[in-house]
Amino acid sequence: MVKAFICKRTTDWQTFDDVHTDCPWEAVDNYGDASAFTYWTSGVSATLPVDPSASHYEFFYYAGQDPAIFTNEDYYIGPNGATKVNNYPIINDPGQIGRGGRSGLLPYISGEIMNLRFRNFGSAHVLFPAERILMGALIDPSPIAVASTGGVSKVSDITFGNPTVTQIPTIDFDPSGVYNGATGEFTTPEGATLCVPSINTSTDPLSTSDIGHYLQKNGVEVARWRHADSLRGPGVGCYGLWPTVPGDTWNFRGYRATSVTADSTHCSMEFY
Amino acid sequence: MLANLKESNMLLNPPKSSYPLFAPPPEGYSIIENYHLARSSDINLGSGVFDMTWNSFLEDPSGLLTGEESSVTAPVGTVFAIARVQTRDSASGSTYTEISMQKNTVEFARQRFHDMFYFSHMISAVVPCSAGDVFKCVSNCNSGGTTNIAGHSRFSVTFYG
Repeated sequence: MVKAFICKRTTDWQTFDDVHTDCPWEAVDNYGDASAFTYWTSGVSATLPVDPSASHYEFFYYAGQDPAIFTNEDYYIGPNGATKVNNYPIINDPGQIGRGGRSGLLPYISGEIMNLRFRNFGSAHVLFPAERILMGALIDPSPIAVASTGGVSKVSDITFGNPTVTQIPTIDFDPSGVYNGATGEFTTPEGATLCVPSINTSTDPLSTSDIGHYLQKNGVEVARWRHADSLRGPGVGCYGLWPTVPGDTWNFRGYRATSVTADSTHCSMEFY
Repeated sequence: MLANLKESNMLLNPPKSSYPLFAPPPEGYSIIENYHLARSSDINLGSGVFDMTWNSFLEDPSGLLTGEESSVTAPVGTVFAIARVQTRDSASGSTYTEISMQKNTVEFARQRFHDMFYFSHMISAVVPCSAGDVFKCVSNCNSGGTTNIAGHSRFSVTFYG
């Protein structure tokens, strides 16, 4: 049984110019055996409780700015700030909307504290809608289904244009049959309550216009990543940890202000 | 004919109730081994393509990683791996830097940033694999530039079976 939690906001949240701020969480959802524990009570951080049965955990986040706002800001995201031993790289990306990531699987440490720290730079504030900012962890993750374009072949020379098109990756690893190659959709299988979507695209280095990837759940955008001007090229990486129920469909959409051909696209879905 | 059309349509648009197409393992896949590599110090890379090296090993079930290591190897029983790399890096004199991951020297994930001095790359992928497959990360800084990979950077590969 999955053991996990997701800290979330129930109201929108703003960061302000050049101020390091930990995101204050307002609620938590526990999954599976994690319901026996209290990871978060109030404030900005969650704490791993004493759990003798746990051996590993992985930390996830997604932070998406208001899609209506598209300005050149830097903001930093880092669990435990930048000074703790088990910290992670600080994100420093200008001209973007949305960022997600994962820590990699770590040895479980009772008492470990997790939080997300931001610093936007160069503008008055950044607005994070409540439904677009999440932080969570999987304990001893054992996926019940995975699918991926990576490992055997990449999807080469995908062209995606203005404004958005559904990317139909050629899946080369789908042992549980969760991918529909006709629609480009992944479907949450029976027994799954969480998923981890990842996508990366490397584009023509000479292209100069905005690029983005949108994540859709049941045909509705839930997360977005977009880069402006100079920071062109890469995909979001990982969209973090998302709640789901069996039968949910997930797909990736590509965005480009002008049509562009990607060198490579690879995507992965993990269901827990 | 109608039956064929119906069957074809079902394949293209299967009803949600038909999922999963076949059942996943009821208990899920299990972790066979997990490797978590990091840098304890910055490392400066010049122009070009380099294997990234790691010198801090948060988890190394092989017990064989010492010094500056660039790769991890899949153990017996592996069906797939979840690989992630995250780097905090900076560049100068370049128009882009890339971080990619490879299995047996074949790239399976890549991320590229342009025209910036500070970067934080983050790549994540599920990769089918079997015992003996070798995983590593590669840094690519285009001509004229140098890339500095900071000590916060990490490379984590979890093997499942």
